[in-house]
Amino acid sequence: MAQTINTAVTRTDAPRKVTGTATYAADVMPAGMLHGALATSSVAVGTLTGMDISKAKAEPGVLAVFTHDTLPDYKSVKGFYSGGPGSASFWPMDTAPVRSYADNPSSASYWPMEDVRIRYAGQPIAYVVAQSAAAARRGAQLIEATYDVSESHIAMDPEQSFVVGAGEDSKGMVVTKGDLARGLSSVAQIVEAEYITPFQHHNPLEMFSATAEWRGDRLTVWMPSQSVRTLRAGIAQAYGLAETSVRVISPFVGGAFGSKAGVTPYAMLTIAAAKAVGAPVRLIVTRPQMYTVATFRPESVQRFRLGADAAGRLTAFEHIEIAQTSQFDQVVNAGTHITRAMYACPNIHTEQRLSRSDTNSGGFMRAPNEMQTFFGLESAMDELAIKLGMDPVALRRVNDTDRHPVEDVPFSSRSLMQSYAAVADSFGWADRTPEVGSMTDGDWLVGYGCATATYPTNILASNARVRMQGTGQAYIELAAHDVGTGTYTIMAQIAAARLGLPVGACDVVMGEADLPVAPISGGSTTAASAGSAVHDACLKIGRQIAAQVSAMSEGPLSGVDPAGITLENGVLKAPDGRSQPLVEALASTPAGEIEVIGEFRHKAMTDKMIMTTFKGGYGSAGPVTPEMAMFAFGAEMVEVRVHRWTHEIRVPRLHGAFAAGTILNRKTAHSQLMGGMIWGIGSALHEVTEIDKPRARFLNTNIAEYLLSVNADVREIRVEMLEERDDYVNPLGVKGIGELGIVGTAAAIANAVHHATGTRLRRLPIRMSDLVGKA
Amino acid sequence: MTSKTSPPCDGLSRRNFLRTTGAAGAALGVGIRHAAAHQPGSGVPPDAQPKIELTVNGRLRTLTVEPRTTLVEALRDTLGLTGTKIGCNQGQCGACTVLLNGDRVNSCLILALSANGAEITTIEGLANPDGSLHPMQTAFAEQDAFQCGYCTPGQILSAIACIDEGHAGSADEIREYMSGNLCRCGAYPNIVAAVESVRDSKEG
Repeated sequence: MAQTINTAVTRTDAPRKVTGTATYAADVMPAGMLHGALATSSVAVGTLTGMDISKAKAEPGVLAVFTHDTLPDYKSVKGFYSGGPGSASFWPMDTAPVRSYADNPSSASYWPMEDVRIRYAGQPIAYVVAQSAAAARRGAQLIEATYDVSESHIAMDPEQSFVVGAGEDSKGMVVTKGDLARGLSSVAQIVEAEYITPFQHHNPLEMFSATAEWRGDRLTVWMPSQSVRTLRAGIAQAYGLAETSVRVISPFVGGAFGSKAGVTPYAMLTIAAAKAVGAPVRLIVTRPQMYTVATFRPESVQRFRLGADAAGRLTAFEHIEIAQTSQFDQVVNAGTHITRAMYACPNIHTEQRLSRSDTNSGGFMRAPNEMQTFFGLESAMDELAIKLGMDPVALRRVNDTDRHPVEDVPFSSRSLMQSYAAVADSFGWADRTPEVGSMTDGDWLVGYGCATATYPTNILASNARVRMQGTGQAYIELAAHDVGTGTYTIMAQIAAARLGLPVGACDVVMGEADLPVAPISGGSTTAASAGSAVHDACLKIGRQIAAQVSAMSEGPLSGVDPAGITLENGVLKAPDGRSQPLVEALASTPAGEIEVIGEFRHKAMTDKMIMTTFKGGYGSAGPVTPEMAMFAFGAEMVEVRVHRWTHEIRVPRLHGAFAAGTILNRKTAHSQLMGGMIWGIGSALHEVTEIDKPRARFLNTNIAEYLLSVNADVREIRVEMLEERDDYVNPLGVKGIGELGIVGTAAAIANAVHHATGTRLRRLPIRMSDLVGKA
Repeated sequence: MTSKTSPPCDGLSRRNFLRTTGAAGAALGVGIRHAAAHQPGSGVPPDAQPKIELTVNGRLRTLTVEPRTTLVEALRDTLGLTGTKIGCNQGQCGACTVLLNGDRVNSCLILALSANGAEITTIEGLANPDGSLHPMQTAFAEQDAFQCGYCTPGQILSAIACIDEGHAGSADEIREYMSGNLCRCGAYPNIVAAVESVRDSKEG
């Protein structure tokens, strides 16, 4: 059987995706389905003093209008997910009670339509059910609400920040190693700077939707999800149902990026409405409403002080991150946990701080800890290199380390400088002249910039069921997700390689909560964790079939000690040289088929971590275990052109080289890394959720005014995937690549803009107007 | 404390939206004879709702539509052709792109009524009856011109039109003329490669 791992395999779901037959959640229409629509608050903070729903109820086609007074079932949700009404709820994962997030005292979650309180603009205040989507939307528009309006602030005040869990247990939020003051006192050069990143929204192309159908005490929910078991656990608990009475179905997800990771209010409201009207209800959240019914990337301030000796060696490293959170949740995306792992330094101080403002709760958005913090760190490193008169790559080399600078454990593998060497070669870094503005092409100022990328290797417990038939097919079943990441394909590849079957004979079934446990598809976990469970299941099949055929009176392996039989590329092999293809061996057994459950449990996983994952939470071992630090690394180099007169900023070339352990599928992995880099272009130059400060609301809540990178924004993107072996992270040696590509891009572009123009821009996104009068 | 009365916020006003698209439908030369009979947003009892005829993927379909129903909702919810996706319902993303009398259009910006009599091609209509794929479908699969696949039906129909319009002369031209179709996964370079490969095989 041909080697299937580390090759370029076309997606197994490609035929469905190019013919329109891949079934996304909102494509399902149960018989008798009605349509839901949300009405949302037009003020940010205050109290509802009255609601006139008479016009909405009179609208032809409208069947029901629910408010906080008339949606009784929903109130039982109160307090369930105390981390917040969004995917924010996974934090703090260490202290949250495993069985319920309800009584976690560190967080006071708030669900809309509980009562008359208005906590943020765009909060759902009513739910309309109608015979058509158009009638439901019209009904929602006809609802008139009156409010007592209170003062509100949508922008955080960085000077009003606080540390979660400060005092007895800071949970790594404040970390000091060595003596920062001493480190700062003996430097050749110091960079002290503040970098600012904006609110951003995920904006997956697939709009949020939920379809709920009750049949007696059985409930089925179709909803795009990157965490079907989390969703099922939340729904079951809210309605007092056994998890076995709740089906959550999400076979295809039209992009997620963190926005579909949790239990969201719009899902709970739809379930409640369907129960109240006694018919299936489908809600498709409008694009503007998507900005306030789920989560987003909070705005942040990144404060750095970096000191180095004359040779460029860091002697002081201080990073204080202040990130926005809502008034009722503590959403921590712990970026300082990642930056302090990056470079060798004897004196380190990091603080992870939050500041509150009047919004829905933020959450995870692609590289939630890394995008904004590495814009800061890698910009600061560039500034330091310039002050030292060093090549920026040389500064990274001087400070590379094979041990975690704070935790003092070795990296399980770290190919940072190999990545720099590879990308420098492909990009032509040697052609760069270091002086600012020294490279021009007619009216274009040309700049080259570089930055480091890293992403933690999160590994979670997972199971997978593999059913193999002697006729040469296999089912691979697990509650994992393909959010565009190629999971269907890589799971088939893993099974095909182990079982000796064609990839096309391995049918992968995922995206349902009833399937064997797999973790949340977030934090670049799925290939490493769920893939290792599939791998384990296949090895178990080999052992069980070996035991059966060795006990038979006939056959190639008859009489062999089964303990000595190995499974290699789909062939059972005995030490004496005898062998039999696994599929033939299976066909010779009485049943002719077999099913087993594979398990992935890393030795660094505690019982509590495993339990958390099985309850739908995020029980990651790593990135730092007692023995090792597990991170993937990469380096990006970019050419930026700034027009001398118009200040137009273009990105003609963006190259990246990455080392992330085993690459399972070179085609889909390339797409993931490339997509991440294109997200990085967006973060650098386009993406910002603008805020209306007087009215405390998000302003550009659509995808014409919230600028996503379009085809014409993207030119040459080159991705190189280095060979890297890591036997510690998991049996497959996979580290995860879904988020790595975005991490360095924004800083690389900012550094290139500086190289081209001499203007250092420390706020994202970088715009033409930032260069007017400067370049 | 101040008190104020205000309708709930929902971004774009549907009513204004429909007025705008009504004009767009007329500009496209699409029949709108039923549209004038009913005020958008007024709601019409089901038994009084108008019938329209659409030729969808070569088959004549007669359907009853509420006047407010957009073409994409008629395709998806009435005809069950869910291959066409809704990404914004505001004409911003291109996910709902279909071919209407051969031209690529955002089907969320067209009332079903105003498409009466039109020929519509959706993603379901591209493959041959024997199941063999349209060359653009094959090219998208081979080039990995998508990840999540949600924008893909619209991208493929737009890509076919891009070549037919003569706007696929160079990579730069393809990028420009495919920029009405957003891809949040960032598959753009592979989309350009897919369009180029189909263009080249046609020329060859």
